[in-house]
Amino acid sequence: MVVALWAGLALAIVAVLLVALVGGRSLAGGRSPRLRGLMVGTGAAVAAGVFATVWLPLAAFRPPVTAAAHPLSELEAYGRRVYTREGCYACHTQVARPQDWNVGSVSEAGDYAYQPWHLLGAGRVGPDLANVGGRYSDAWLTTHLKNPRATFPGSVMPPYAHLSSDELRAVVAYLQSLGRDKARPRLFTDPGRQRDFEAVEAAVPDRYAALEPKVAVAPNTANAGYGIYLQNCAVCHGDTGRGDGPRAATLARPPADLTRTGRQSLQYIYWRIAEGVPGTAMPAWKLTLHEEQLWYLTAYVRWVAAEAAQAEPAEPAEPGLAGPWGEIPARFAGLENPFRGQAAAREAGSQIWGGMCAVCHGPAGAGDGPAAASMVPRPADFTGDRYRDYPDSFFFWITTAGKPGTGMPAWEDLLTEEQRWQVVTFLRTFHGVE
Amino acid sequence: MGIRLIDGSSDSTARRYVLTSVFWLVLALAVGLVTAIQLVWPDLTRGIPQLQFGRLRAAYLNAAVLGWLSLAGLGAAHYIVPRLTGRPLWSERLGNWGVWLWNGALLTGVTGLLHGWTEGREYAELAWPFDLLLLAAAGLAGCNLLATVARRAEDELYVSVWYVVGAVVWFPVIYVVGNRTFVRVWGLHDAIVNSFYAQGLVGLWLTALALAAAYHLVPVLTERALYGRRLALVGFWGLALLYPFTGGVHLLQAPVPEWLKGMGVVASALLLVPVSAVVTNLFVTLSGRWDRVYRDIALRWVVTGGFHFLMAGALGAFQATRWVNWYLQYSQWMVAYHHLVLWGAFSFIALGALYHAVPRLLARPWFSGGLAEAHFWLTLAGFTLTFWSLAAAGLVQSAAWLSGSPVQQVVPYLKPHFVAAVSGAAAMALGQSLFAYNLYLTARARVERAPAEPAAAPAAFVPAGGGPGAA
Repeated sequence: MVVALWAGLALAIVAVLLVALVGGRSLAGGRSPRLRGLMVGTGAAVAAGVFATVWLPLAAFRPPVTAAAHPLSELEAYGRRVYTREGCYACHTQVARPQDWNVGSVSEAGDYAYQPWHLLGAGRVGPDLANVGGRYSDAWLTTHLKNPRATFPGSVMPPYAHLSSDELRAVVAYLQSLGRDKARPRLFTDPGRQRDFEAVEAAVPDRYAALEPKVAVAPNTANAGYGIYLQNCAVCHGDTGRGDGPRAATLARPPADLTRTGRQSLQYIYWRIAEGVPGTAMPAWKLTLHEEQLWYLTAYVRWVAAEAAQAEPAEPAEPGLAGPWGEIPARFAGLENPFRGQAAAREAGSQIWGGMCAVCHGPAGAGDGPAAASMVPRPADFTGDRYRDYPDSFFFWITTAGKPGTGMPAWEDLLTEEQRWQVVTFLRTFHGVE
Repeated sequence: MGIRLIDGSSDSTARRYVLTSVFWLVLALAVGLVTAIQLVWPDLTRGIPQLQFGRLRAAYLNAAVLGWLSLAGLGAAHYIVPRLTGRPLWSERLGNWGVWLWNGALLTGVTGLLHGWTEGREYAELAWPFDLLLLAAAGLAGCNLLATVARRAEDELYVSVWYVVGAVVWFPVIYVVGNRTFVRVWGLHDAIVNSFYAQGLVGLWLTALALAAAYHLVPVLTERALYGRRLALVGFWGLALLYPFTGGVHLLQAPVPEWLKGMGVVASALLLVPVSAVVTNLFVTLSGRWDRVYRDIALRWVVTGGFHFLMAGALGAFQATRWVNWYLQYSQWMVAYHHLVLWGAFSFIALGALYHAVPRLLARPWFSGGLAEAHFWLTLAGFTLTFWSLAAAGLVQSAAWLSGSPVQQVVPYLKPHFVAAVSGAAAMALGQSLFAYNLYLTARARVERAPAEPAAAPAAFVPAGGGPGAA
């Protein structure tokens, strides 16, 4: 190996010298080269190029195989051949770069071991597929391949309706294998819900943990941070920091509810803003904002959390209402269903359910409607015992106000109060509450 | 113009190369137009596997690069070499065989691509039997040209001949390395080899063929000697020494070794030297004769191609730098750049060569000057529209991706750009159809006086199409 390397290197040096000799001689004399000189010079030049950019990487570039690389199963290999045959690489790359957001782990050289031909891709009209495995259900991918406009209305992907069902199954299996074995980064998207705050804090790298805040937490600095926040962050985290911005519903990982970060250190918040959160759409803001701006944002986040803690007392106003359903806002807490037990209301609720709710939650409330397969998080499954002890007011609250960070919309403006109670009446029959 | 496939008459090889290249030109643009429409109307060919975007794109690329540009460049080389060496082609029969072998291999290969027989590497999609046939055809053409040069009557080797020699030496090496079906390398190594091949095929083979034509046409059409031989030497050896090392720039965003990327970046930036040497040389040769660019349509094609070549060289160096590449890679900007190289630079120069060579190869003037003018302006307008709309689409994509929009959310915003690209592609396809029609009318027109021109005679300035400059 070493001998071959040196021999190749010597050959390349001879080649470059030959080119320099032929080219240099004719250049010095200002004469046209002779035919032999031309052939030797051009041949030596391309040989040196082959050595340096083809042979040398083959000989010297031996990346360690990563956990993400794995030989494909027979079905996946067949899918890869179909993927190649149909030219999918024309619009989809398989390289996740550090600057690409929400595409998972960055591709490493060893990820590509075992690939008999490369499918890095020519460019992106559609998304990068390096880590697509596990992001969508098989049913979703099959639908998407057959009719891309059904799953993404603006898509320009060709319909692969001509693939046989075996080919479709193989392509889906192949797609699901991409990035499948890649270690997913641990997520701390919503530290407020973490029980073990110390463990979360321990994730802060030392160089961040040692930072001294450059900006004090005060109304004026929080206001300065709020200006930066509205321009950069509110689209996902919402204008009040509750993680309910307009883009939140499109993200696979919901944005953090900043009002619940009160127990985190300033350094933790600063670190999350500066470095971003791997595996989510949260970018590394140190790339686009100055250090001082990041500290103003930190001050704002702290202020929002502090305000929220004051506005919502830690103990519920009526302790008897607290349960696994969490705190029901005062506006809904304690409301009683006016239609409880009325068959006519159940019937009316059933009508509304079929038209509005069943598409996600399924006709029998099992969270298995036609749209459910593509939703993250999945729609709630109301069957079984889980919801049996919940109060009616809980369901009325969620139906009215929606659930931020999920696909559940607020029905307040679409259904009357009476209709919402009818839906709740019907819904409760799924887990046997009449 | 007999119907005989193999013909030993003088210039028959060049004639066959040129005429078949026009078939590939029209085919490539027709397929390209369909793919452009599919980006706006993706359900256009729903249910027809042979006409899906991914397969058509491979067919389009191969028709454009290995069909149109390669055959037109070889046609120009077979036209130029006998005239610059003062000897007829070594063997016209061998040359004829080469033409049909190349065309046959490519036609079957591209049909195979449409039916899903592909190796899945960009520019190297053709399956191995067609690779072997194509290599044989290239070998025939190369030996023929080299033998002609070796038996030349003139002692001096003209600049065009350097590039022809370079092209025929480079092509087999690049093609064998790029299409090594039986030497399988794994994973990223395959991508590294593929990027060497893509860079070599465009940067060495197509560039050499186009510059051979440009270095012949500019002095001949302006009736002036080339401005500087030493400048030409800088351009030639600079290209030969730098281009083989640029493979890494395709993979700046992939996890390949940094030294490979660094080598590609440095070589790409240094390429500005030979590119500017070539363009300076050609344009200074033109000084004082720029009126002929307006009057002579062949020269106009070549000079417009020269401008595009300079632009492509500057953009190539610019986007090979790490930060620019970091921003623009994988977006439609790169597609726009490839249009600039393949259509703006090389195709314009090749069409200039065709406008110059066809009247001499068929021994009759162009049938219609009006069609020729329409061809030029439609192509220029169509190309410009396509290039800028795709470049703008690339900037939209890059900006949106960097601000964190998922890729699929950006796609709807590209629609206006894709619609503009369709208009551009339609204008270009229409222009090439007019050109093919003009060629057809020219070929079947009755020749009243045959200005039989001996192959060895220096080509005189004859304005094409009987335009205003006819004198």
